[in-house]
Amino acid sequence: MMKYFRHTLATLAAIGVMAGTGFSPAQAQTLEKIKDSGQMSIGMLVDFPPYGILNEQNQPDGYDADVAKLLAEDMGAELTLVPVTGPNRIPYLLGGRVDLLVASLGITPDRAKRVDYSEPYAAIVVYLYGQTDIDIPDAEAMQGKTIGVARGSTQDVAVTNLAPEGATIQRFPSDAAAVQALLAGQVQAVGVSGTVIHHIEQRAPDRFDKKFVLREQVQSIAFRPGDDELRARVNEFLGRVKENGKLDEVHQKWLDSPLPDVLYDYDKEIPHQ
Amino acid sequence: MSPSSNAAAASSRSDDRVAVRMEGVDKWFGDFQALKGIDLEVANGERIVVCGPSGSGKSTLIRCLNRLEAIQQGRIFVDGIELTAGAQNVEVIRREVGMVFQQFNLFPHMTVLENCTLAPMRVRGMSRAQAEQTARGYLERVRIPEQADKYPAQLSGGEQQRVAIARALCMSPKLMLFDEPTSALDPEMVKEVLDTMLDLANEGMTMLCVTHEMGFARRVADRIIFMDRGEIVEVAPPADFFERPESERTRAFLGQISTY
Amino acid sequence: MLRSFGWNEIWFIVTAIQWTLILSAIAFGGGALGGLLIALSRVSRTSVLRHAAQGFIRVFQGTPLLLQLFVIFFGLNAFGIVVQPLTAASIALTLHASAFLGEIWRGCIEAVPKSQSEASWSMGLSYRDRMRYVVLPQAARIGVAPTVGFLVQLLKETSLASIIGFVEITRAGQIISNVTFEPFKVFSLVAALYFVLCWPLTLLARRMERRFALSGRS
Repeated sequence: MMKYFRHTLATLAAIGVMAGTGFSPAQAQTLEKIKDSGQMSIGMLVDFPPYGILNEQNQPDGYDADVAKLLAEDMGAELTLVPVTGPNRIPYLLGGRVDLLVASLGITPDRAKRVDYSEPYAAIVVYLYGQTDIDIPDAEAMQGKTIGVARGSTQDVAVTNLAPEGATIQRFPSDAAAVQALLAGQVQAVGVSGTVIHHIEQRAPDRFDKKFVLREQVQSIAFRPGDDELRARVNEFLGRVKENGKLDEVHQKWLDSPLPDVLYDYDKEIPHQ
Repeated sequence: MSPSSNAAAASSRSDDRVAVRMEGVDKWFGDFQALKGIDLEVANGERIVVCGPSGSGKSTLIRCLNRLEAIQQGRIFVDGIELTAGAQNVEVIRREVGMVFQQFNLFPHMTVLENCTLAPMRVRGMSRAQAEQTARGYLERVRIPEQADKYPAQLSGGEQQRVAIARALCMSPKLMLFDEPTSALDPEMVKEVLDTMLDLANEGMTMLCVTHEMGFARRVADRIIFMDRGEIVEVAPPADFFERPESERTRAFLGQISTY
Repeated sequence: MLRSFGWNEIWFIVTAIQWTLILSAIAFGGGALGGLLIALSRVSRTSVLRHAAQGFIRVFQGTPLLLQLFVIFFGLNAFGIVVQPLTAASIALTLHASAFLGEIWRGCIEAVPKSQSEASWSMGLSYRDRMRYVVLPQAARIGVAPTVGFLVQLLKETSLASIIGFVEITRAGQIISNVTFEPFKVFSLVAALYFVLCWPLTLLARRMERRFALSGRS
């Protein structure tokens, strides 16, 4: 199933690009459309805690939802949150089914060919996290160890790139499954984000610790290519909520930690078409 | 036997006494020629038995008469209508020609009665009551009226074949074709089927029977046709056919079958 | 903010059954109709129909359902046609099921002995009557087992509709698994729910086959 799925994704991506290019001219006025209709729809994940979740009422919630709400309020528009998934979020955007994505989308060169990015609004630090009695100070030390990751995730890419020969990588359908394997002792360490580690420590304190930083990944709001006015408007908004502490407030609420420093002075160039 | 192409013109009924006429009929299965220049005329009410070694084309011959097999050359008339002159004629003819198969070919998912009433209702437009009355009449005549509500699989082979005969008769055919009707039967059941066919013959039905039952042929047939390698080798009344066969091939065939 | 796997979460997954059922019903209803047309076209004497049906089957059997869903939902967007998710899923699942049922049923029609058609022909039955009264009823008996087999497969394949936004059982399970970090419990429940849906179908098939077996063995 998973193999079939991954094989298909390549084709799907190609169609997504086709759909996007076919449609982009007509979409250049998204900002105007939002102003005229007084409504905006934002795509977000609902299975990526704490950024995108379903709350007890089964409504979309989380850090991304709160950022989306702030943005809609700022623009004076009525907000519709549209649940999307990892594989379909970019097609949803390019197909015109949502106005923009606040969907924990990390900046990568591949994606930058298909969507435009805002300034980063969140950052995920991915760690190698494992049993306390095993010493893995750096990537080389993964040799002979079994490492679990969620297939196709940022941490999968990082571990795969860093792992020396002799390290075994076990890929799971989700972070949840990888953590399950860690708790069950099937793997000695996993590649996971700081947030997930926070959950694990609540459930199983002192059994595991952070070994080293695999990767620091910033996330951005995504737009259809050419939606430059909307992008400028959102960047202006992000600058303001970083300045006045509102974004930090939301980050404290969902992640129990202040907004990462890297978001205040992100100096790397953001790819743009 | 003087086939005139004038009389055969269009679908006009040329001669009321002629049930079947075949003129120069050729039939190929791919490269294999199954029928070679067949000329034959069968009069109304005539009983014909077709015999010959296996692969001689005898089954193919009768299967051409209701267009179960298409021919490549020649013309065929049934009941004065030219079978080989268009699909419309085929439709008319195949409902006037009844056929009984070696393997009975009853519809296994229908009761005996349903087998017998389907075509009269769908093709002749009879009401169900009318069709069932007709069917019960024919089941009576083939001596199995009590089996009307059973399924074919619950009957013996002989009974199934008698149902198949009744089913064909329900369409009031002008001509009946029998394709080795007793070959698939256990020996003790052959007689009941032949008796039924004999009754039918006595009532004046025009019949063409492909069969190896030489006793039946001797008793019932007006003429016997002997075929070999796609050709009609000999046509003769039973007395001549069995006592004074003209052809060497007929003699060889009779020699083989009478050994047992 | 990690949710525990409680009644609220179980209820979320259980209520997602409605989408699995709705999508399956649409797929099977539409697929049955389309499949019959495809099967009859495949055994038709008209070569244009035969080839058209063959081409249809090649396309929809030869490409993944996921791709078909994706093309209809997102691809038509490229031409300015906005398709609602339920419409897109109905179209894609119907086409998919039509191709597979068409091919399964063609096999069943061809499995009815040719002698049955010869008998129908010699009795003067029209093509329509031959199909309706003689061939299709017998093909239906042969078709029960493979059809139910496909239906069970179809029911599970509706999970692919999550790609265009449906939260049916599998997708509901994924969401709850990712917010509770209890994949084992969550997917045990999901598996149990599929079993509850599929088991009665298998029972039904067995009953139908037994009923058919009583009337008319050949």
